[in-house]
Amino acid sequence: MKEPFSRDGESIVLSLPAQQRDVTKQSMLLVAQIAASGGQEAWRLSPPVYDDPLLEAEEAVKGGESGIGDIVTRLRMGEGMLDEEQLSLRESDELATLLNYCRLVLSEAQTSMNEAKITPKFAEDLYSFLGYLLSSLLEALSADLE
Amino acid sequence: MSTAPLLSPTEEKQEETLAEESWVTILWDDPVNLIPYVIYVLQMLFAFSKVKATELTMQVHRDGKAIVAAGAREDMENNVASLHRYGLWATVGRA
Repeated sequence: MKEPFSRDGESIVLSLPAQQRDVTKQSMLLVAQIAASGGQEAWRLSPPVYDDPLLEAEEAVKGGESGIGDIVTRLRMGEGMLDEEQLSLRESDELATLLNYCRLVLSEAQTSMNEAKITPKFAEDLYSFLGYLLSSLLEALSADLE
Repeated sequence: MSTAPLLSPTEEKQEETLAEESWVTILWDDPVNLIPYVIYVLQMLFAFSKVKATELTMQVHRDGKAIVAAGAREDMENNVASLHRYGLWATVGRA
């Protein structure tokens, strides 16, 4: 079976079947929607800066932006990357990050569903599928990193 | 009444430098991020060799956390922001 991502010099070639592209795009849009709505499942996209609660409170007073708005925009733009046949290494780095965001949010959503004693099989399958895509993309991206 | 300074100017400077460098970037373990992803991010952000990035990643996996950088507070905050941008769980701590 052909790898979904492969290296071609300074580019990454996408060989995703149409159905897999669609599923991935829908995942990104779903995660963007969850993040935009301030869903608790998206907390990992904007974790605390300090592990010390006092310093974290100080950080909050400084009023640093959570960055969620930026992430939502990136997820929505990233969806378009999946229509390309080839991506630059920079674009591919961004795609890997976005796929990872999806896994982070899906993992939290699965935890909530487990607590509510509902674990749809599709959520587990989607999480595994995104892991498979990310692994393939990382292999292609890391080809020249020593 | 005047009192002798507790620290000489040189010592004060040394203390300031020490205070500036008394911060660390801590990378935490989590069950979601793939090991190859963490290695890749450490290589990209800190220009670590694959060996060094792998060692640190395995330390995070084994011990629950690892210090990936030390220095001035602002630099550590920037490191953490970069790691968060990749979706890794990192915090700034005192050395």
